[in-house]
Amino acid sequence: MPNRFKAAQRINSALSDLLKVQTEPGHLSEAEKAEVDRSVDALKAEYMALYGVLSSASYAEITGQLTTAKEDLEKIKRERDRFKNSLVKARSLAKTLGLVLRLI
Amino acid sequence: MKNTCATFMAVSLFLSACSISQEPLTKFGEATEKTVGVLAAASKAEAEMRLDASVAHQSCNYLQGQPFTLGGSIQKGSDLLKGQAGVARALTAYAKALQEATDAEGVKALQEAGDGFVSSLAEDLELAAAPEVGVVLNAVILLSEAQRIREIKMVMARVQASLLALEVRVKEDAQEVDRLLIAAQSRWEQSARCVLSASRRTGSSSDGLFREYDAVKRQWQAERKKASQALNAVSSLIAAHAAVLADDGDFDAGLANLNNFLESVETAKEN
Repeated sequence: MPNRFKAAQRINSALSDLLKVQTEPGHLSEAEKAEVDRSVDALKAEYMALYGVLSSASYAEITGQLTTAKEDLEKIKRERDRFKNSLVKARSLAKTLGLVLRLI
Repeated sequence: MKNTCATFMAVSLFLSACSISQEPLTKFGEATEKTVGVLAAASKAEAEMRLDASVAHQSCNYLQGQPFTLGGSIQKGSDLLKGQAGVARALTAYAKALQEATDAEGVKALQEAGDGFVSSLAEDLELAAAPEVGVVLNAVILLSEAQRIREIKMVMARVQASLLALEVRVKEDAQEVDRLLIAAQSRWEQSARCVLSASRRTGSSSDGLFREYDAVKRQWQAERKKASQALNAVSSLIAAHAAVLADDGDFDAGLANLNNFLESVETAKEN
């Protein structure tokens, strides 16, 4: 999984640069612009293949993939909340323990 | 003990230096949500056109003395636009989850809980090593946040693949979406013209009605223009995700990309 993410980062780096060129082609010739377009298409196809997503995916399939992503993000938020709650509980425990120790 | 303290201080300084700013990510989530609004424009406009066409049709029947229905059924919408609306809803939910997962308040609350625990160790338990525990705990919090940001980026990387597939779909369907909107608008216009003609004959506030229908048509023309930007909306999301997910991920560049697109949509609506 981490290797796939690393590969995704590299493709995104190249894609990000090429998309900038595509938006502001400056003094590129028509042939060079066509070459940039071809490279962008190839990178996009490579990226989808990396994650096993078909370019022919239906709206329903894409909706499903996005819903899974949303659930994963919610899980990340819940983990942070759980960590925070543990610290709050630990604080409360330390307070109680302090009171007990003072009574001894 | 002195050495331990120095080590703790060094670790603390190092971690503070590489602490993560959540704010750009949260703003990125907000801009994503706004961009998705453009993708949802077609299905929203078509649903409104269907309702208005149905009402205008019955109104026309009423004015012409023919049988009419109040609160009648509305023509079924197209599966294609329903599919796009479903994706837009899922993307909105993703953008909201992205905002919440990166919410600076959540991180602040976590750090405050950590500080509260450490001060309790010092005050309630009178633990001499409380400051050292604090440094370690702060390190754990920062490392766990760094891990969470990485996990968030991994989710975004997966979403990028879905966005690329969505771009293909939206590009292929662009002409059909526009055809559906033109058809829905024509159905409404036919009934609206019938209402206008009949009300001109009866002389009942036809000028007011004309102005109202004229405004409605202008609004739909603007909505159609907005809907035609769906492909650009998805492409902007892809470019923004690419900027954020690149080796040297740049949240500000991704955010600027989305904001430029949103500005262009506003300009197009005004022209």
